[in-house]
Amino acid sequence: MNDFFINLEFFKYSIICSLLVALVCSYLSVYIVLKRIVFVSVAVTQVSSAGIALAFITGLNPTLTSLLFTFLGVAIFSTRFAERRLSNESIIGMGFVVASAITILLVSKSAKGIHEIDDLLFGNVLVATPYQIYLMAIIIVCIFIVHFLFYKKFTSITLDFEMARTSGMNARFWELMLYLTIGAAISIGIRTAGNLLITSFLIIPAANGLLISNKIRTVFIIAISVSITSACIGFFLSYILDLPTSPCIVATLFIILCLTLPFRFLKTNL
Amino acid sequence: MIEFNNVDLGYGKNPVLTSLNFNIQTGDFFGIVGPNGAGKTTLLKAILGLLKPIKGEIMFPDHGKGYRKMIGYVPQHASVDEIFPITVLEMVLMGRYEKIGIIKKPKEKDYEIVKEMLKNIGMENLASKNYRELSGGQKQRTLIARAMVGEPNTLILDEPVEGMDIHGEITIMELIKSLHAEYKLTVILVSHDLNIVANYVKTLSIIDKNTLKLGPVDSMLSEETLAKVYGIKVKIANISGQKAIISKLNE
Repeated sequence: MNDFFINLEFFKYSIICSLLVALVCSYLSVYIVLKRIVFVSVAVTQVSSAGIALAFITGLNPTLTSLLFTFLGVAIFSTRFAERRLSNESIIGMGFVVASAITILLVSKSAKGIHEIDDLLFGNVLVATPYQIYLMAIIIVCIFIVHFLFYKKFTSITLDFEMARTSGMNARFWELMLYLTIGAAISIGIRTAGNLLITSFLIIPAANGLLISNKIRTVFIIAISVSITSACIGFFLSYILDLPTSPCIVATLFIILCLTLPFRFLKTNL
Repeated sequence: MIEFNNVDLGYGKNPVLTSLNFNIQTGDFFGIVGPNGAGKTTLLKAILGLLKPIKGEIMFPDHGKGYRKMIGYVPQHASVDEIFPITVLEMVLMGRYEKIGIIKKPKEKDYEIVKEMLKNIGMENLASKNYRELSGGQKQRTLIARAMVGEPNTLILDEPVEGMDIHGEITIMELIKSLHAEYKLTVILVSHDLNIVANYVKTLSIIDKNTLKLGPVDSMLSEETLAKVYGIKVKIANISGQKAIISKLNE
């Protein structure tokens, strides 16, 4: 265990990156779960991975490429198509599998091949640099400012989209803003945290908060606390057990979720 | 007042309702009925501004473009997602959001308006209760309060008594009636329940074969008209001053 603290200096950038991703994704996870757009976030994350894969073989800037791909995915998946024969769900599903196939096809032509698929799935802590952290921090601050200022808009369109529209609010614009902030959070974290961890942070923390609390503000606090705690514990476990970091953090998130189930049972039955 | 000038409504290029020419007068209690799939929801969406007419214009001469802020909309209570953790007070406060402004926080005045409305509808004791823990009738009252705190002059309700027992139906309809009188509201109500509509509205509109017929409720409710629209013979009885519409199953 002493080794861990001695080597902490070596890991500090990757730990900071994981914590930043945990912070922003878990906050947004509350909207994702409440708005029932979990599958949208999974598909957008996959599209973001395809952007990174393209950057691998073309030498383009991975963050920029990922951001472009993500916003494209957001634009497609947030559209409410008028086509009655196809549900939005099936369009999102197709987007997910096509983005997965493109990612694999792109990296299969790359010199590193399978290692890059690993990077996309589990992230690459070695790319966590001070520059990367500054960029992430700036984008995260922007996301939180937008959400702080327009909290009422985001909660209104999440609770009751039709009511928001009839009240005179430009609900479609605010829904797009919500999707864009989710897309930005995915793009900035995908390179370092990877597909698996980002997706987990976008779902599990909110589920945890909603199981415990009946108050929306408390749900946000629980989601953020759970994800940051899981990131710290998961990182520590991966070091001492010599296991991959992302799966360790995901496993920790899930164990904490399971630990809250008895609490939920007692709360509803006593 | 709401004016329909030669309006066609529908989806894409397929009209559901055609050549609509009518007015909804200020202060009216206006009921919209019709068989399933006739276009009640389509008409409601058009009034709410959620559906653009294929042809013609829907005008709000008293309010111009700011009409949406003067409309309080009450959806079916089942359409509000119960996964959202929200108290009754918070839910009703949401009806003030457009009045409060984009960035500002709710002020003491906003909370006072919300508490006053909760008191008016007999929900003040449930203010801190979670919305999803309420009964169907309580949920509907909460949604009515949410629409009312926006201080509208028109209240639009979509199937307000859907899925309720007879006591719940009467409680909600009496509440709507008292709000209509107390706040001098124009009320527009869509319902498939003829008995409820017949006993509360002043003007009745019946959607039949892509168009709409309307008039005072007593003149519109004839056994011939209902038989033609619904394809079943009915009897309209008057029991202690209340209208009862009974289907004649064997004829």
